[in-house]
Amino acid sequence: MAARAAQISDAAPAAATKSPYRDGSYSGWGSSRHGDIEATVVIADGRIASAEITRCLTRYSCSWIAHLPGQVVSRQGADVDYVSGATQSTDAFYYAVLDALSKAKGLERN
Amino acid sequence: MGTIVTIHVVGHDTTAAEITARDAAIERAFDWFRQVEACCSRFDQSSELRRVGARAGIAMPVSEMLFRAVEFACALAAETDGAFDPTVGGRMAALGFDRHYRSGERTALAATADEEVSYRDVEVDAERRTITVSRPLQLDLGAIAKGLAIDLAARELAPLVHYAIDAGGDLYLSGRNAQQEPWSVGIRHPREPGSLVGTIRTTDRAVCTSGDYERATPDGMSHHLLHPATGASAGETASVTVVAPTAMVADGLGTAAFVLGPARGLALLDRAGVDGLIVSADLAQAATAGMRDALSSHS
Repeated sequence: MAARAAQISDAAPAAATKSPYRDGSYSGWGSSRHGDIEATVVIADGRIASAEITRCLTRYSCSWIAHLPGQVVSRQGADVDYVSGATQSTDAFYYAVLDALSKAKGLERN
Repeated sequence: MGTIVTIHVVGHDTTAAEITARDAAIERAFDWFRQVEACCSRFDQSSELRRVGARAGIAMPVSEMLFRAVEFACALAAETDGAFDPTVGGRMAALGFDRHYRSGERTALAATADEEVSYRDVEVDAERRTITVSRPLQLDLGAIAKGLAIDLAARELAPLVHYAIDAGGDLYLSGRNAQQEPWSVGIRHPREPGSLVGTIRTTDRAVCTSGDYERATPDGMSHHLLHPATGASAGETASVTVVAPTAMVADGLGTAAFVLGPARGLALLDRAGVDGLIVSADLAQAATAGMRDALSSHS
């Protein structure tokens, strides 16, 4: 087993009409066995205005996942709790965005 | 297992005793992944799995964990008439899947590839908890070991009620998410990285996906889901997602359905009473009735 992570969150009722995200810039880290990626997500008016790879500590260039940040904006990011069939390749960015968005939701308990 | 394992617990634990118990349960859950790898690795010379296939004609007493995995694998092999076969280990190595995930070192073969070997050469005795092979062979539990570890981890976390386990995209979801709703699960598109073929909401279920994108052979030609009859990678299917009560069942049925192809794979899932989605190489989707409902109710 290459890596592990535990997360604890409070159960909170979903806000039906309000965006779950607070405006601001949030960074998160994601890991894969190929290395770590930091993603930074900017929330404006409750929506994801931009998402980008801000640090790439993988053994390979991050250029081949350069299309992923755009997809986060068009899909408005973490609309699912988990993805089945994750590949090592895109895991790191996916978890980095989830990490950043969990901070934008204020669910982080560090 | 070369996999990132994430455990996510949702809850209100407040007392020090509750938090201590929770953290201990999470530690035990993580430890199952290490234990299953130590027991079931095809790449580790000293694993229990490697020892079982090495000598023919001897009833080998094995751990309960290995017994459960091999017993299920053989039952699934019989059910699929060998489309799923845990004795493909020798051929996996012949194709180049013989490097240890972590060290990159080549592993020595316990038995040479033998096209005649099949699951029928493996006999399991539930009463005495032994496994007998009728000739030397190399068992491969790669299709179900991760699922088994997820199930064992889930058993440790059961008292916490609301939790999710993610082992490299194989999932077990229990109770409710942090929004107090059933967990939402996206199903990865087999061809477009970062996009989804659909989303479902589910709880108290494993969701496992086998895809042809997971690992490629060193020659870049074929992927790791082998058709036991031909020793070549199954070609018709791009990915199979199975939703089942346990991850071992979801993993195993997903692999078998992958090899069988969309039509026979879907029939297998229906027969087993589980839900699933099969995406073919030309991106056509075939889903069980329950899966169709789950996919459409979410969109």
